[in-house]
Amino acid sequence: MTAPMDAPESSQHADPDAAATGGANAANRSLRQIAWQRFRGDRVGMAGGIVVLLLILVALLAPLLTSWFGYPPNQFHQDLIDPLTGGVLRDPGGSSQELDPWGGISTQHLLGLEPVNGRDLFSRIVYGARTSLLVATVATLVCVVIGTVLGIVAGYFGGWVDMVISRAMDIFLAFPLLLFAIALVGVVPDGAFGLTGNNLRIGVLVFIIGFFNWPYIGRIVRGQTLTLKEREFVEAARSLGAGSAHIVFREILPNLLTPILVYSTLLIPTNILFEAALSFLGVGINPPMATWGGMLDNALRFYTTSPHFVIIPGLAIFVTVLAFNLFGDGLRDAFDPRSSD
Amino acid sequence: MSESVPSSASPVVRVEDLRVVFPTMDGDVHAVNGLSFEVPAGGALGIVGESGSGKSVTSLALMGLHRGSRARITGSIEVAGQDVVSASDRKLRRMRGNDIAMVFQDPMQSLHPQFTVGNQLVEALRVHRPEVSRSEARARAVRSLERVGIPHPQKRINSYPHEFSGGMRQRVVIAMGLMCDPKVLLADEPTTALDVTVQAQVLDLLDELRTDLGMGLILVSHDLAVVAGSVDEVVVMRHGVAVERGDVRTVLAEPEHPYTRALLAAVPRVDLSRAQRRARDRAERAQRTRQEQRRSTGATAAGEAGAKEPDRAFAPFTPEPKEERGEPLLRVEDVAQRFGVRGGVWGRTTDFWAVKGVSFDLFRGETLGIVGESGSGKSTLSRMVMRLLEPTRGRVEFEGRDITHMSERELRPLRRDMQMVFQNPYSSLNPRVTVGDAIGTALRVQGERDGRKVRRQVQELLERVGLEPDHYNRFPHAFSGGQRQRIAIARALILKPKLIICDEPVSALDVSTQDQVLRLLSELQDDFGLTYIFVAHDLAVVRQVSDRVAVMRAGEVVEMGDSDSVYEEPSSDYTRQLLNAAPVLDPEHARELRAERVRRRARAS
Repeated sequence: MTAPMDAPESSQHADPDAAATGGANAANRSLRQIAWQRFRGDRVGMAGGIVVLLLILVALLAPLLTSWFGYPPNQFHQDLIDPLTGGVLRDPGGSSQELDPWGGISTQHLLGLEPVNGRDLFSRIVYGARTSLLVATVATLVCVVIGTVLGIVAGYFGGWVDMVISRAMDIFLAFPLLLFAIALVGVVPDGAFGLTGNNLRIGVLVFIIGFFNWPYIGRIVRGQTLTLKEREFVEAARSLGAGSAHIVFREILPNLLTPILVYSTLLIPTNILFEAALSFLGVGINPPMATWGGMLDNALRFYTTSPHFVIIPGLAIFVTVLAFNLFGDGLRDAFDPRSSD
Repeated sequence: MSESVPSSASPVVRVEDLRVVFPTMDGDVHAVNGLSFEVPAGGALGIVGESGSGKSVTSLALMGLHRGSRARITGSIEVAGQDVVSASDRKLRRMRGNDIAMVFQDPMQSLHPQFTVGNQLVEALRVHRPEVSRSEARARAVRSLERVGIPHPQKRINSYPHEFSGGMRQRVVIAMGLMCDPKVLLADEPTTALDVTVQAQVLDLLDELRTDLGMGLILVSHDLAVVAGSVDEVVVMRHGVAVERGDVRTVLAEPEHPYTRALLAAVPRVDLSRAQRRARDRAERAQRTRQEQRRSTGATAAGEAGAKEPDRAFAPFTPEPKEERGEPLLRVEDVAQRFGVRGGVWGRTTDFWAVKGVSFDLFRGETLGIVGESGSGKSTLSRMVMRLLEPTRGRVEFEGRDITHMSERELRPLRRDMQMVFQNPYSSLNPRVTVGDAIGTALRVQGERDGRKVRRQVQELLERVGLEPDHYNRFPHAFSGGQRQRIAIARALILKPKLIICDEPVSALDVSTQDQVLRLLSELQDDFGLTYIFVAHDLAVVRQVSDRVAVMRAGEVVEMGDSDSVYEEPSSDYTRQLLNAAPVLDPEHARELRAERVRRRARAS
């Protein structure tokens, strides 16, 4: 610590209590570094983060992975299947018609085989991760963009603008989303917007999920903006002559990045579940493209003979959603100002 | 509890070699490091220290409230014969509220909003004395409320906390503490959230209770003046260590430790005039510059360039003759501000006039102090002058131009000349924007495009307000409160304004930091010929910086005039009341003022 502050020299220098906040190294850390340090100490959040990272890698490297450890996702292996029941044989090529209770899990087929067609489950799970993450992430991005823009506009400008946007949010949240999705998929003709087949289906899914879930982000952003615009630093910016654009982009938006990041991480798993549900209902991606929801839909017919076919995609969804949730919770705790000093 | 009554000689609280350590990411923090003190039965001890000195940690440790946290406590704490450090949770619970009661800083948060105060008082008693019947406890609660001076306790016992004012709520908290006849009352910054006059009332009440009920009192505060008139003994803490401990009169009159001396020197005194303070600050500054010059006599160019400047700047203070003032820089005419308050029947809005008809002229180089308690409209007034609010009525003229209803666009060029320093340096700086950007924003907003030029100007200014140029890229959280306020001042200065409105610029700061910031403001006024409007609730601070003072109450100016005459010979009764309530450092004087307040109150009732 410095000399007592009656010494005139010291009054010109940094305050004596400057270092008291936690050592000299704390002074140079940015908020992000502090959050990272806190996040590293959170084992559960870290585990979630690592799983999320692995999932993204798996999705990105799907062709590579399947060429190393599996088969193309749509290659049939009907020689391993009992043609009568559709189950996986324990001893293919042999005389016994006994079914494998493990669903054909072996070094050849890491997660076993699909009933009837005998496609490699590992490959389909890996490719399914691609679809799920793609749809969920893009849909979340749509949510974030719409939600942030409308949330800031509502919160910052207030008055009738806020009224209109807030009511719109209520309406969107009250929409019978599933029914709408089913109807829309039936109505949109192939080739609309220049998209065909599954690209169109993915587009429609992203549109539906993104367009109807933005109010969740929008409400959070609006609330945060309402409190942020009353803060003194906004008033200070106004007193410097700053206009609305400066205040929104330079003063308010940087403070919204953390909540937006956290809530989008928490929104991704919801969207994954939603995509799975739509695919399960048959309004999602068309076969033969691999999706987790679609696999579950197929699996239900075989749950007595091939329980692994239900369990494996179910587990994939479960692990992904859990990992994203844990990761998001960890992020929130790490950035939460309430848990700091 | 059924133990023998302790003899008057044995202390009711004894703390020996107390150490509290918090493990953190950056290693252990020794919040309290070897603290010892005693409070005799019926005695009063003050614990004084700035933020981070460990005083609040000590008071929580006394209550045993560190249980369940990661804090490590060693040493011994004895409250009414009970060892707090080693006692079982059950025993601790029996002790809290029964032997030692605590009054917290913020009465808005220490009462439960969903229960009537009566229920909370009854609860406080029946937790410890389940044998007491509900009606008996209720009768006791009424007596307790009456004791702390709540009018109509019979009726008020059924009120909810939000139906009381801040001061009344703090009385309720004290009444709750009294329910079990504790041997010690521990008050941690009990008046920090309250206005001066209310603060005086609460302190008077604590003093009265102590003498009447023979209760021990531990008063924790950052303000030596708050403690001065209410305790016998004082402990001055710094960084977890008691730097000085002794009789309050001795410590305040003849402080031994340099830290205590510095702390005392930094406390703004209501009896010190602006001229005296300026003279002192200028003399010290001149001395400092001379020292620096002597140190760097080798530099020839510096001597030549700097020689003329300081001579002019540090000329002894002579008040400018009034005739030469010419046109006022700012003219405020009968401004008023109305807010719609939602409430009442069917949520209809009712009008609330925060400021009703205030007029004043402000001349170049002058400082106008505006004092008032919370809700007096002083912040609203300063925001109207800044045109952050549009006055409902009246006129604001800046350099002869009517700015009352100007649009934001028309105002922009004028913003160069008027700036504001806000109260809370923690919320007036954007946590996500680097210090350099925060200060440079003003230049960019006003149309400066050259990034290097902005950077250079900001760095020069950072140095001028006592920070390092390489702080440019740091974020606000890396700075202490005082440093943040320096940054805020730099931000206000960057456009070289003519008028700076300081809205409670030092009220969130520790005394020593407060003193430094006031000094900086006064130096900057000398160097740049600034005109200030200085808004504050602290009478002493306002006196030391203002040429003229306006005292506000309920949206009106009750008294305005030359600052020395307002303070020496107040003409309005309200000003006199405020001055009388202001805490003073001299314990004898504090007691005299208290006696006078008690007389005044007795006369009033």
